[in-house]
Amino acid sequence: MSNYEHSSGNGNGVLLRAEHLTKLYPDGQVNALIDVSLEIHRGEYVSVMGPSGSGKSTLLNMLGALDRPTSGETYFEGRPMSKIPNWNRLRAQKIGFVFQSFYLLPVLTAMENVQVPMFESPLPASARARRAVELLEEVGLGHRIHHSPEKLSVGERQRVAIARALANDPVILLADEPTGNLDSKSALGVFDLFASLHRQQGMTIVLITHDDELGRRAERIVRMQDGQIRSDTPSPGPRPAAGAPPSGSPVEAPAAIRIRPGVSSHGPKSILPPFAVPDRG
Amino acid sequence: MRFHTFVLRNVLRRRTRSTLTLTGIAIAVAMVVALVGFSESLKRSVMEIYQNRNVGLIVMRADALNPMTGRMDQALGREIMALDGVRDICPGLVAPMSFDNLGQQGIMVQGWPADGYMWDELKLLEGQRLSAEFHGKRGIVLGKDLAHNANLTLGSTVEMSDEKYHVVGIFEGTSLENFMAYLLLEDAQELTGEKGKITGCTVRLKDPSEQTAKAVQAEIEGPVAAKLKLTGKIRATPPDEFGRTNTQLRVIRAFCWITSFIAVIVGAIGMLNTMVMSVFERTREIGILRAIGWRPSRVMRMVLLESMLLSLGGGVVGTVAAVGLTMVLSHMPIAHGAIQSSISAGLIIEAFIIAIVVGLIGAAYPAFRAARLLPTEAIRHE
Repeated sequence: MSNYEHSSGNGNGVLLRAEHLTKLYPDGQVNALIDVSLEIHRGEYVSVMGPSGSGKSTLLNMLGALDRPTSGETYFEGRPMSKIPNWNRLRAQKIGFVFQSFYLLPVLTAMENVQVPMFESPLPASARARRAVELLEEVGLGHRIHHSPEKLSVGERQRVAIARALANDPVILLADEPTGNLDSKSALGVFDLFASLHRQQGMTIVLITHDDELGRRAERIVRMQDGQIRSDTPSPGPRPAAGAPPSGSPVEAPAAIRIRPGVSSHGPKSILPPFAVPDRG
Repeated sequence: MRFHTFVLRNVLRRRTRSTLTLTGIAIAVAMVVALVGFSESLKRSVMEIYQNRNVGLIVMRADALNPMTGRMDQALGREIMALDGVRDICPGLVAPMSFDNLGQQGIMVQGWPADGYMWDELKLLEGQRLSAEFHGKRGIVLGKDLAHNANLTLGSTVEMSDEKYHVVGIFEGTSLENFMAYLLLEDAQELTGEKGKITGCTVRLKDPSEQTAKAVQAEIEGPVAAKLKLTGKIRATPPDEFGRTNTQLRVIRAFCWITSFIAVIVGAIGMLNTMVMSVFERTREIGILRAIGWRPSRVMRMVLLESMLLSLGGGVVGTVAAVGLTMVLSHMPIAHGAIQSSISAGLIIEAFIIAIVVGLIGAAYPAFRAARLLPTEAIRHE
């Protein structure tokens, strides 16, 4: 196994580096990760693929400061995570999580859900509300801000969850099967949103997916099996679908996506081209 | 959105459960406010009887749980009257009696001598007070609430132990006195078959200083008691000390607190159950909150604030219910004037403190548990 050499050409350096990560769950004596080493560079869009039980989610938990390895070390912006005393702050300020099942709070509206991580930011209530509206507009849900999750489609829910992940202006988005509960149209919309975030804002994205076609939309693919990285290669890009229309869904997608940093700036401010255009291979 | 809005939404999420928990707390608070308020108002009513008349010392049997069951020789009064520092005394005999012809039971009947100063504070509304000329004529005067409840007016007849008494006066006194009936001491002694006996004696002092009170107290409990062979058996106490140390009042107060305490424990267990369930049901959700960066202390604060909100809601509902209940009870004949509709601000503050403590106790463990949840395990929770 050899690590993929960063080839995006943006020269942003290493954001996350995992060195010889091993995770042993004592209950089942299962090695969820075996000597995994990996580098994620700033501005990279990486998909982690592999069958169930291959260690993808365990790796994501280690990268996202959610769990500690049994051995090995993860470096976040050059600092060993084992030496970072406050992982809560790290997660709150630097990392955005997107989950397969969205996990929106049912008692809150879309706008309020987006504000939940901001309780850990210094923003006052009025600024939190403004920021939430901006983010929802940017993911194409400006017209749904007062809707509760149950009144949103699954695709819209995941967009709200993505807006929530962006709430504190993280440096990296970690997504665990973000389209696992979505129909194909909505899934494409969500992937296009990730692509836009990456391309326009330079957001670093690591996402886990089972879907080979969607995984190929990243610029780099890490394939795992039995707790180890089997391959780490540049993505060949989406397969051209003969006779098929471009796969972005105008139903689930916003007409234009403008991602702007809120609390602090990590990327270029720009306006994206129309939604259906990007990311066709 | 503010943090407390978020907390409120969580509380409103399970409306039925929140309402039931709030009701449990409200009952506990209502019990505290109503029962302890009852014991306080009873004490206040008793104290008013003495304070209104500038009584310096109350002399009673030290060994009687109930002042009505303790008996002393009437000669005690004469001995006390002879002491330096004593302005005047008023011996009394109090006993629970029944108005047999009206089916009214448990009426407190008080006997005082015709010239006793205790009569002076009874404000006559109708008729006249009992003077020496009524001796042997079986006259009785009634508190206004007793007269009203028993539908008695001037000239009405009441029967006690097969003897007929005629209502000659109706008066207004303290709230407790308004539910009592009064006879001349001799008639009361005859009625109870205890000639020459009294249940107690109030003493007014020439000088209201504590020093005088202590000196007279020492004389009564020492030489006077010894002379009447009552050493160690009688106690002379100033009214405020009487209110604190009177066994009957203390027993009532203790009973009220114990009963309230049981309600408080039940309320706390209800809160514990609610918060444990609430945290358990939201395990995954709490895991997400932790994953997106919430500190354990914020998760703990969320759970504690949810519980506080329920507790304070219960405190408000319980206090309002207790005030309403007390107002209703204070107008019922069964209350015998012991319940006043005024509940002290101090007691309401105490009840709210109890509600908050109940909330904290009930939520402490679930909050601790929620804060300790590891994000990865919580998210995996089924």
